[in-house]
Amino acid sequence: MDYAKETRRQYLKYFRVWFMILGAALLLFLAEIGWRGLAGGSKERTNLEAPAERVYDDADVLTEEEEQLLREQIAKAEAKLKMDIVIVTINQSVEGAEAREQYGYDSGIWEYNMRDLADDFWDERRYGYNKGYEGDGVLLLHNWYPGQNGEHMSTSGKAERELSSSEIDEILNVVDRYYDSDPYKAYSRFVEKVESMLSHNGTAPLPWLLVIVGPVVVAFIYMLCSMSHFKAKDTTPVNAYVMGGKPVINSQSDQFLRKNVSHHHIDTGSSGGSGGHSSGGGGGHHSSHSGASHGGGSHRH
Amino acid sequence: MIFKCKNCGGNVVYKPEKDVMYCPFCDSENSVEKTDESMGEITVCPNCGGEITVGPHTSATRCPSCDCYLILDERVSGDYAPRTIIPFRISKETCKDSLRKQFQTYRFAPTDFLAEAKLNEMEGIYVPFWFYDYDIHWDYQGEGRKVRSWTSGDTAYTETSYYDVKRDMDIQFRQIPVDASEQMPDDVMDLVEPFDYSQMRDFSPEYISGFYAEKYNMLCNSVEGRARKKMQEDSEQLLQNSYSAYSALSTLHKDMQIKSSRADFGLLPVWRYRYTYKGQEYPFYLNGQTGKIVGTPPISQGKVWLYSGTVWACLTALLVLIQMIFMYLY
Repeated sequence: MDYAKETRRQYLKYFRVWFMILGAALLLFLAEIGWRGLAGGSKERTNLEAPAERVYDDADVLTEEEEQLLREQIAKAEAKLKMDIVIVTINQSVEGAEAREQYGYDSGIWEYNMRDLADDFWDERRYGYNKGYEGDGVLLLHNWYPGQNGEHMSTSGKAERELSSSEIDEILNVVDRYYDSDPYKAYSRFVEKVESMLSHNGTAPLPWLLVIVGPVVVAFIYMLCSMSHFKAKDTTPVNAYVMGGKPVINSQSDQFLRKNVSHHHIDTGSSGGSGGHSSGGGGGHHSSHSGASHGGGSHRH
Repeated sequence: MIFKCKNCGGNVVYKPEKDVMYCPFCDSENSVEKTDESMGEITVCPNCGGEITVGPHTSATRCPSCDCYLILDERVSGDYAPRTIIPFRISKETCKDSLRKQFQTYRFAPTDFLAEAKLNEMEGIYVPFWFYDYDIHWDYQGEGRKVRSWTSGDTAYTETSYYDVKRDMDIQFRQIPVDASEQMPDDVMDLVEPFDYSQMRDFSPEYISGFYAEKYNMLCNSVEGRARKKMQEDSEQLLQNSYSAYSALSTLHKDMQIKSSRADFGLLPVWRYRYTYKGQEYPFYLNGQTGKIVGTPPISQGKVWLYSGTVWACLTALLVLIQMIFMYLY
């Protein structure tokens, strides 16, 4: 018998599931990379309905030059994220009876109207990188109307799924920080922040230390477990060689002599309860007038 | 002596599973006849004339030339006549299966460890044993304690009751086995136990035809200490069992007397598989009656590194792949 061949056969049989899983995962990974390479290295924009404009400065807080710079920055970010980024500034009242009469809003509440304005702006122009309805992207609506200054960020598609309320807050905080002194800087940082929050490229899900040390530890434990020796146990019962299987009791007595009782006080400390709370995922889900799903959040100054 | 077949003249051996004398040449059962030629100290096989080497204590062996099983009359009679024997109950094939079953999950054992060719070298041996009988008497007195605890309100109570404990009992130990063979390791022989004495029979040489056997080569008195130790440990345990209801005991009086003792000589069946790896022998012993296995397989360092290394490589590759998928595809 060829023992080397048999050793190989046993080895391959033992690890076949591992090898198959790894092989399949590697093939899928390579196939996906190959497919992306053939498709031009990136997913082409599939929504051709939306306008090319990304910066609507109706409040006129940006110079032409700044608008152009923002457009260029957004174009780069969009190519990377595969998501649309739209910035809208307005200067109109969205609160109280005046706003309701003038614009026919359903509500007189600032937050609701900002949200509806942002969502409708997105839906009506059919923004979204991959499609014109519930497509991927974000919109920043900044209202400069005196006394009602503030912004709302509307998210859609992949951006809606990935950004939580707190992340939206974090993005809007960047705008809050600079809008007063330099609106262009505020919007530019907004685009940067969106880019960094939604871009996963280059970030590994697991710490590299775990990737390096984890398998070493598991392999070591595997080695120790598999090396544990078989040991025969003493299975001879204590009465194995006793005639009748038990001793012959000639006499036995268990006579009670005395007893004593001791006691001590138990300290009962009060136990404290602990409460827990859970935090949710994606932020501010709702449906817009067109029925499209949006996420979002507002900051009023 | 040699047991031969009346029908074909072939060597008849004892068949464990069927408990019969069997001729492997013509498949007949109980067609045995004993050749009268007396075999004392021999150097040539009386069947084929081939040269054989017989150890100083061997009482039954196999001729390497004609595979005939020979029994040395002088070593199974007279002073060396065993009084009792437990015949083999499991065959070599059953032993091979149980070894494979036990060790098939031992990935790090050398590949040829359970190979058919190696396992076929397994040999059945009737090991000489001394059996000791002891009648003993225990006289015990002690103060036993029973403790009970309970809680009432915010007070914990502990009640300790004291008893005068007396035990007067006899224990009759029968046939505590101790091997009488120098070549068999004592600790292994102890672990091969227990044997089922209900299948013990008066000795007859037919049972050892087809196997190896030894006469006793350690005297009854020289190994009696091991039997006595086993007896003392067991009797101590049995005494303790009789007052196990107490949580603690203070001994006041304890006395064990051996009223009588006696010894007998017999043979017990053991299968032996001698596996050699890198110049070192790894012996395995199986109880020829129950199949209980005693022995530790060797470890192939090459396999340890190969298998552990593969586990490491597979895990690392999988984790790196997960990292890459998240880094480049999402």
